[in-house]
Amino acid sequence: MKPLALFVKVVDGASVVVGKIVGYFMVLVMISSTIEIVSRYFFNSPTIWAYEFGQYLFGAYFLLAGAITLYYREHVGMDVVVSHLSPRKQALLNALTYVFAALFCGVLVYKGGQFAYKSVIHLERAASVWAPPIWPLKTALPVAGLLMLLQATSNLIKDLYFAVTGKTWAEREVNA
Amino acid sequence: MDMATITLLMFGVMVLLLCTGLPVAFVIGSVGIIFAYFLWGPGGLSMVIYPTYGLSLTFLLAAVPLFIFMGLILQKSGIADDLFEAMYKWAGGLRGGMAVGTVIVCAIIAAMVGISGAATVAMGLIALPAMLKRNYSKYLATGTIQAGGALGLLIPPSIPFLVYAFVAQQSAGMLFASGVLPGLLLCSLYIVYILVRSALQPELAPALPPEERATLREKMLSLKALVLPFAVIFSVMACVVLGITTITEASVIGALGAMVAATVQRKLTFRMIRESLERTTIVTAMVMWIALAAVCFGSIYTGLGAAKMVKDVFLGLGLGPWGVLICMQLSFFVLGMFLDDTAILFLTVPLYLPIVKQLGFDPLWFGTLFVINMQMAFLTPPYGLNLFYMKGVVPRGITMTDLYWSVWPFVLIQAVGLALVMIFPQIALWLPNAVFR
Repeated sequence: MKPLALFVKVVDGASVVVGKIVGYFMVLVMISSTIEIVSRYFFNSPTIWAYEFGQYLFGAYFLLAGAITLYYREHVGMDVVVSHLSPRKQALLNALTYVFAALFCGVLVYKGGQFAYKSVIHLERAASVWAPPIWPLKTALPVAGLLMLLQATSNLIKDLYFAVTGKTWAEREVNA
Repeated sequence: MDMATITLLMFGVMVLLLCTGLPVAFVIGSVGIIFAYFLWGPGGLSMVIYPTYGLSLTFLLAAVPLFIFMGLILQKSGIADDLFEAMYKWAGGLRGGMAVGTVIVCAIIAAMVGISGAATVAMGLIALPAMLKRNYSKYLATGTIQAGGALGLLIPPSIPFLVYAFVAQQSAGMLFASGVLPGLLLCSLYIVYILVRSALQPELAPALPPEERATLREKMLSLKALVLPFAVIFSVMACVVLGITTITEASVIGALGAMVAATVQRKLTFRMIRESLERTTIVTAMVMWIALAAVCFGSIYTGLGAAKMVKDVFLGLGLGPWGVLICMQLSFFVLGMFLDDTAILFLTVPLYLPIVKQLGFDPLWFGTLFVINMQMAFLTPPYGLNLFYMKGVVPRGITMTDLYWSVWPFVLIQAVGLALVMIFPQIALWLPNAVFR
């Protein structure tokens, strides 16, 4: 159990930390957009960077926040049918459908990785006046997919543990 | 395999997976990938990349988290309580008055937030206990709150309009404007229904006893609560409607305005900002990952030639343009029982829109119809999000079955509203045309 427990702890921690950090990206977007509005209306000189800056931050923001949302199990699903199963059976069902979550995330990592690799080796820049590096955003896609995949795996471990023992993962930690 | 068989198979697998409770994003994404693999082999998987990358570059949608953040800050600064307090004083003396007041407060909250859950939860916590204490019928009370909460989708700012603007390449500002009058129309229909119903059956929604009613002075003082929310609403709307800023910039102004309003109320704390940011992140990721999975699925499904098939099916029905339009609305309604608005939008609109245009209908108006329709999706079981939000905050003794019964008169009213906007497109189109052209 030890390595599994360590895995869950590290992955859950990473999802939450990444999610909280990217949460502040929106503060940066607020600041950059404010600068843009002010310089356009009061100084009549729109910036060349604010739009793209916001664009890339927002892209990375929602991609990388997928894992924390999965950790809190806030990705909505239709739970009407399963809601009258016992909690243990629901956990088992969650574990069984893991393969579909893993498939989707896996393809994002694999194909997104190829896509990002081409960009990283050239240290690609955007084709714009400002021309910021574009490879970090392209890398965010496979990284987000990987974080989601790991978080789904962590949830799988917790679900299986509950389905088998009837004790939640949190209860296990108290006893250990 | 022909297209019809593939479609049936795809949606069959999708429904089956949805029933397991697997998150919608994973269902849609994995079904798309499985079919792409079996139909085209490993090369087909590359089709997920370009739509995903395109989505991550859509700055328009950055307005989604910013409007959510604005709504959360306003909500946490206690504006909902003050608004309800004001309505309680003004309308409490009427039969059904508190329910009417709840609808109005919901409409005002709808103009501050772009989603449906905010007003439902806030009013469920504030207005529901007050109404139940005054012996309001639990059906009328909960139904009102859920229907009122759904106005959040229609009255701008509105997340589904933003997403529709992206998918259908329409002006988000004009879409926002097109939701205003239908929103007010629905609001009035609810109020008329409540007043008529409580006049006929006074025991459903009794008036406050005279000694508990507010004096005129108290009523006037309570209006102070309206100043700040209206200031924020008008600054955002002015920026959008007068074309001063882009939608995304307007959402930034709204978010900053909300923080100013909260500061004036002496409610703004770092903890509140931190919690709102985290909540915003999670809600946005939930919406955007469904969008992400759906654009992947959409590009695969369209790549299979779905657009032509859907077109042939609809145009082959021999129903005429209006028949097709009504069928589309019915399909939204049925899908709305099982899926959420973002998923339905990405799955159907790219396929429907070319048909709508070919039949000579206005795509802007089609967007308004879609969003009115989605309000029903939020109320119709088994998968109606407002039912879940409501269930989360009702006192013990109110069951899910009670909630199912509570919503149907309102769903009927929404259907009437939808029909009215279909018959009189000017209800939706007059305002955007007056302002933008």
